[in-house]
Parts: sequence; structure tokens; C-alpha cells
Amino acid sequence: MNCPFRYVFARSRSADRHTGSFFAIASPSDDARLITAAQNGDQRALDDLLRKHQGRIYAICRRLAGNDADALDATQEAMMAIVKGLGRFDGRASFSTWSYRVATNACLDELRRRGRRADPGLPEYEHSDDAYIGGSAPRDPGETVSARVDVDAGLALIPEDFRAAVVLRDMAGLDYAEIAAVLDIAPGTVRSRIARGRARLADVLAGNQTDPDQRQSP
Amino acid sequence: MNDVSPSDDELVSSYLDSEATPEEVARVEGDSDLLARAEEMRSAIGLTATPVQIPELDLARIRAAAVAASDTTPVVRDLRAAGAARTRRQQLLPRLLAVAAAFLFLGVAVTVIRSIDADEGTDTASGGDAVSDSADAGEDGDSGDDAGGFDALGNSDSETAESDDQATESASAAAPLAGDDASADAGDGAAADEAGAELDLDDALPERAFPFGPDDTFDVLAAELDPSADTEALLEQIRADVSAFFKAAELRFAEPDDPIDPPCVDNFAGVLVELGADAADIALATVADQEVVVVVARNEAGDLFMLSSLVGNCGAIQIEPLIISG
Repeated sequence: MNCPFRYVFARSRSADRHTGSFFAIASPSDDARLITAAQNGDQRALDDLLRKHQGRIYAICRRLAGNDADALDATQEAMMAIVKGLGRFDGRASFSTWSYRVATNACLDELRRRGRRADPGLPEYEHSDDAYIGGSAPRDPGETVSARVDVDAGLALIPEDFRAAVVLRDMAGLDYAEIAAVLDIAPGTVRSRIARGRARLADVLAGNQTDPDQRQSP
Repeated sequence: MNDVSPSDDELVSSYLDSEATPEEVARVEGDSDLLARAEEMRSAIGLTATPVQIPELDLARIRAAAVAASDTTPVVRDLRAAGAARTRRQQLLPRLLAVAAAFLFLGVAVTVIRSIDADEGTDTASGGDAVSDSADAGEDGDSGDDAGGFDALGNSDSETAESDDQATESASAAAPLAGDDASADAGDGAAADEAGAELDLDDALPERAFPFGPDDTFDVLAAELDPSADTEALLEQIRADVSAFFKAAELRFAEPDDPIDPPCVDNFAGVLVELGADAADIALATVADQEVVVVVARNEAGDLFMLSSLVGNCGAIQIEPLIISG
């Protein structure tokens, strides 16, 4: 045994991996190269491809499912579906959009199989070294817990179709056209679902549990 | 809450997404109730956008299972298999640590012997293939060609043959993960430079991760090994143990001549990032004619991990950390 080299992780590099830069590192050109290689049986490329997108897939599932355990199950289903479906991926949509679609469907299917709505639970992962998707790590762990419970409880009150649209828009940052493609619905429907989901969540935050749809239009 | 209708909510929501028409924008901005509703929705948006904490170790296992499912090669077939493999590896940890210690010890011992022999103008080949191979490579002056610039036990030629204080320096080189910066500088040869260039070591920090420090190395090793053991037999035992370890771990064996490459390092890097490692040492070893990468890492909490993989496929397989301490 010897010491040919040392590979030490500079904190700046580690920090980049921990502050939401996942959204920036998956360039379409990189994806195209990895997809082609993976479709030709290159497992290393497949692993790289999944590694690039796993954080975003999990984040979507986490918000849709409302708890860590269900999110991990859904993420597993999503990754398996991506692997099985990669051979049929033709590149007409971006891989991100396609993987979002697979992940969203996998998560919603998982929830439907369990016959229940999103179940907000206490957070299981509070390790400081875990990465975050959607922003940087909150400074105060207590703030993390309260914020997560609130958002999980709030999202759990939104019908899942609305919730999916809201999560794809407000957490994943997709535009209406992309969300329409992911959910396979018309852009006008996307606009409506996002609005109704946000309105419901806003009312929950404001302490009003009344379904906005019950209110009268002017 | 503002008393707005669902259609107003849709208007406000579109306004916040910059999807509203100019007329709709004007209507929202001219209505205090709608602007107030926009603020409520902004709070909702901010809540949904709360960062999601990523359980990277779990995702690594899921990813490995998914990749394995794409292949007929039984690397890790599913999560349960991964868990079982990890359990087996954890059960083998004490043995592996003993093997690692044995490698270090033998590296020290053989190097010192060779240094003494060199002083005496003789060349006594000691031990089994792993050791004698390295000695041969050293004599040929091309150790880097065979193992990415380093022989099986890490004894570079220049250290063995050219050091002014051969015993001391060779000991440092042969216990590379335990030494000070001088041992890291041992790879100053051309092959080492080549490996370093590929791995972009410019930002490496002067930290060491291995549990054996320069002062306690020999004490630790002396406690691990039977000083009366026959070297040849011990090497054979090491080979058997390590081979059994890798076989039990369900790792695929590498193709001959596969170099350690950036994907391999990236694979280790991914696991180390998931572990929160802030320092790591990587070593190469020849075990049962296989090139093996061994990484010892430390995270910010001071926990120590060992990761290992055959060189040839370490960029593709799942690498499971073994907990040394923590």
C-alpha cells in the first residue's frame, strides 16, 4: 500500500454541493452525452446521470409525499422507472422535464397505492452535512423543523393535483409550459391549479382553513 | 385573509409568476385587496420553496440499486442486497483493518530491510508477490507504469535507493497514510505528477485522515501482528483474506490494466461528500493480482471511514463506507 496522492475536499467545493447548486450542474449537453452512453449500456454514465438528478427527484417526491420515508420509496420507484424507461427516451423533451414527469407520477402513484394523502411527519434527516435542494441550509435547526412541519402540513391540505403543480412551480421552478408537459395537462389548467393550490396554502398560513373554492365569485 | 374570489386568486397567482397580461397587471396593482392577496401568496410560495434536505446516503443506495437493475451483472441487485452486503462487510471490518495494518507493517518492514540491504550492496527480495513485484518495479525504475505510478506497497524507487536517511524515509513512505507531509510528497515522480494532474489536486488541503499517526504507527501495528509470523505465509493469508473480503462484498473484479480514472475518483468523491468527509487519503494496493483503491476519510465530527474498491470498476459500482471509528 502506498500514498500516491491525496484527494482532499476543499470546503468551498463541498459547500457548492450543499447549497442548491444541483439545479445548475445538470447541463443539457452533459445530459445528452450521459443519456447516449447510458442507453448503450454504460453503467458509469447511468450512475452519473442519476447522481445529477437524484436531488431534484427526491425534493419533488419529498414535497409531494410530505415525509421522508414515503419520499424515499417514491424516489426509488422513480429512479427504477427512469432506468427502465431510459431506452425509450427520445430526447424530444429535456431529460429534466422527462425525469420530473417520471418522478411526479411515481410519487403520486405511490401515494395512491397507499390510499392516503401526503402525511407530514417529523423530519428524520437533520444532519448538517446533508445537501439541500431549493436553497441553502437554514442556519437554525429549530427553524428547519418548524418550517418543514408547516410546509408539509400545509401542502397535505392541498389536493394532490394542485400540490403537484405548486411544487413544480414554486420549488422546482418550472414554467407553465414545462409543468403542462410534466403533468400532461393544458397550460390554462396549470395556471388554475397553481392558483388554487397557492390560495389554499396561503389561507392555511393565515389560519383560515376554509376551502377557497367554496367562496363565491364576484 | 383578503376577501378575494377564486378567479382573483388565479389573477394574482399569474401576476406573481409574470404570466399576467398588461391589463391584468394593471388591475392587480390598482387594487389594494389584490396586492394584499399577492403578499399572502408570496408567503405561500416561500414556504413551498423551503429547501429540502437531501439524505444523500439513502439516495446513493437507491441510485446503486437502480443502476444495478439495469445490468445483469449481480453487483447489488436491490436495497436489501445492498444492506446485506454492507452487513457482511461490517462483519469483516476487523479482519480488513488487520489486513490494512498488515500491509502497512509489511511495507515498513520490507522497505527497511531493502534499505539496509541497499546499504550493504545486496538485493534481498523478501515476502510474496506483492512485495517482490514492487521491488522488481523499483529496480526497473518504472513502478509508475504498472500501478498508476506506484507499486503495491508504495515504496518508490527514489526513496528506497536515494534517501540519505533511508530507514526513516522509507518507513514514512511505506506507511503513507500515516505519515506527515513528507510521505505525501513521496509521489513526486513523473507518474505521480500525471495522476495528480488528472485528479486536480491543486486545492488539496494539508490534512491527513488515517488513524495511524507517524508516532503511533509501529505500536499499533505491533499490537496487530504476530512478530514471529512467517512473511510469506502472512502475505498469503492477506491475499486470501482480502480476496474473500471482496468476494463477500459482491464487488466485480476489474479488467486487467484498467487505470484509476476521474470517474473512479468522482465515485469516491460522491460517497465522501455524502459522509461529510473533509479529508481523505487514497492509496493503491495490489491484492491477489488486483489493483485496489483504499480510501480512508475523516469527517468534521472526527469519524473515520474506510472505503475500498478494485481500480477497474470503481467508477461504476456502489462504494459502501466501513466505519473505523465514530
